[in-house]
Amino acid sequence: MELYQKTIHDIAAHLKAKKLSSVELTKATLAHLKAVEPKVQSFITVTEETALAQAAEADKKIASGTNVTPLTGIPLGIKDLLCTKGVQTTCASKMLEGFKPPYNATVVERLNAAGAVMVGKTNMDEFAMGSSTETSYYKKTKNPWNLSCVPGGSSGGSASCVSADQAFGSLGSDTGGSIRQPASLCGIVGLKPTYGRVSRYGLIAFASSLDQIGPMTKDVEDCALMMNVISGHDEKDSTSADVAVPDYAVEMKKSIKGLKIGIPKEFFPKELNPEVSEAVKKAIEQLKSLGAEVHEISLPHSPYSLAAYYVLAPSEASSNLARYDGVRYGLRVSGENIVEMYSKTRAAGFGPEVKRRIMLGTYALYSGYYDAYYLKALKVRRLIKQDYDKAFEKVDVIVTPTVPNPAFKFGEKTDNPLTMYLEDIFTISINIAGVPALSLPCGISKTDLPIGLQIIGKPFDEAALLKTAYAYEQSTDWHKRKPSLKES
Amino acid sequence: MALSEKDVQYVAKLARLEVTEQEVAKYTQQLGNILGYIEEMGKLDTANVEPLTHPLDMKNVFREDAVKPSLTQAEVLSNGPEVQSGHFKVPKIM
Amino acid sequence: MAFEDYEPIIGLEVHCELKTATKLFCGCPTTFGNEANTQVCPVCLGLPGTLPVMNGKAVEFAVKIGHALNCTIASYSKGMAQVSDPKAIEDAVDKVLAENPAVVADYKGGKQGVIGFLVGKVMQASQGKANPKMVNEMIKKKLDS
Repeated sequence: MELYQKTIHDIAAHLKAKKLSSVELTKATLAHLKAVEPKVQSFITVTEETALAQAAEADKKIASGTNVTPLTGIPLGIKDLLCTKGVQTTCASKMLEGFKPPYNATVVERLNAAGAVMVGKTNMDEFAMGSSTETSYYKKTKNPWNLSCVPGGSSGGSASCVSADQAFGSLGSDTGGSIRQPASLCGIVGLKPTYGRVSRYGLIAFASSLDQIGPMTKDVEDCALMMNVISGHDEKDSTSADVAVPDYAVEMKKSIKGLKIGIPKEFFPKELNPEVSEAVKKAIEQLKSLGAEVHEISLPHSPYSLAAYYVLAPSEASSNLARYDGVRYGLRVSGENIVEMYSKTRAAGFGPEVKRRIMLGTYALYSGYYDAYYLKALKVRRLIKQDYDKAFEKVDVIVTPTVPNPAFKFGEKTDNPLTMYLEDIFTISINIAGVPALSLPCGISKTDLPIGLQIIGKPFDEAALLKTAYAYEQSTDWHKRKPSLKES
Repeated sequence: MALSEKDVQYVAKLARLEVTEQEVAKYTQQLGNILGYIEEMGKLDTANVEPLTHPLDMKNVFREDAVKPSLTQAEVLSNGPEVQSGHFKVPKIM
Repeated sequence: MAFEDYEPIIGLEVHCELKTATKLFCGCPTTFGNEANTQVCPVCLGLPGTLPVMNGKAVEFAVKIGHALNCTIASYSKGMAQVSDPKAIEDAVDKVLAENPAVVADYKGGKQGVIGFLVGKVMQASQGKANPKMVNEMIKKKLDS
């Protein structure tokens, strides 16, 4: 096994034992990154110089034994909607081409303080709007398991770089499934924390009441290690919760005997892809054999979650994206007067999916339709949250498929926006309710594409997610499978 | 609620998005489809349901009225498309 | 109508800067006189990814002013969602009309200017959320019939 194929926890042991330096490790990782990048296209910006400088700093820390954490000296990828001081941050949009933030996102500060190394900014759907990374202005990222298939989205590059061993882990963001769906399609672990668990300061906003940042890793232990670093209250984010952060790496190893698992019948429709259904049901049986109890539950309002989301998210986005006006940063297209400048700049800077969502949101919020759309969606939101609250009185975690199908081919879902939106049908209600959820691999399809298992938890109970996932993972070997990097 | 091309033009104006005639036609159709799907929510009886604006029940998150360091003028202007004498330069407003 | 039949109702909209040391949503100073763009941070520059954090002192001052001017302080600020449901507005109007018989009598007696007072009462009861145009029309409808 090559160095870059190892997990964070494995390689950290090597670094600690001084079997190799972070600079050596980073050089090897970057060499592999560049070797496969023409095939995979995970990165918008590769930060080779910064990475090597950070690696040298990490080596100093390791040598003196001060401030060494499990992430010290570890090369990671960062989704290109997280602000990185002095390093281009584009949101995969023409609007922010060349934009260099004068500040770091809080999560980036925390990774830096932990001694991590950033190898690059990963590709994504433009402004996080999409489920395939096809709306990126810069490039199309390929799924390492089949290069003619999408990696999922919007955190497609963050998923593919981990799957293809170009980085040991990455940060993604999730508003309707954007961490979990690409994790499922690329055969890795992805966790969306409880809303408020991780600071959003420095996360370029899409939908402020739904967005969360989370880790994307090769296995559950790596996920726990990253969660330990990024979680916790931040005074710069008024929506970040002042709730203590447990040691997730310790919590993860606790027993799941007697754990009550809920299976919501709405997530297993008759038309569900039989391979997905079979893989998920086998995983549930596996969890049973490990000591968990399975109960059938219902989340009756979940069929309305997609409709509610496609009002709430675009409405919030229309407000968050109003700042892109060509005045202080980003693209500017000149005009005769200021309004013309705004309109031309925004027309040139945003892609069609972004424009669609801004217009949808503007429509839903303007006075005539506010009650029928936005207010209605907020009420449906309460109903969806209540479903989860009620379910969690009976069970500890909920298990479902992450997505209805394995990875699809490029262009397969781009003609009709609605077909793309339906990809998120199992992930979306989780964001609406604000609860945490994780995806991990539970099978491979006949066409050699990964199938993902979603585990949903109570607010601030990421520990339950991690221990359930860890127990399952350690009793199977899906996490050891590697993609072929071939096209078919 | 059927979406007309006039609606789309008005909304584009509100959102400060210049759109071509072709785009208006295309967006009218696509947005119309999406709205049709969204109207499914109308089937739910929500008469006695309070809206939920936020997943977390948080109140009164305030900060102290204490001065913190600002950016330097150079940092503020660093991403400006057009700057002059310490200001961002824009076309006429009135 | 003759000139004398008009009753002027004058409202004063006063803008007064709160004497806080920092801005509303960030820790930049509010002092006057410095060079342009030297008291700006990522938050008040509106950079992508930034988040506002409310100045507690400003809220305190606003509440104080509210008390000083005899206003009702809303205990829950739900944001600017406007109520335009006709039934809800009708219920609110009926209540205010029932509670203010003297003012209603004034209106019916020819002092049409007092409608402003009644609209104000409905707005207060709805914590500012009712659609004022609809309220005005509803009151007229009820009292002119």
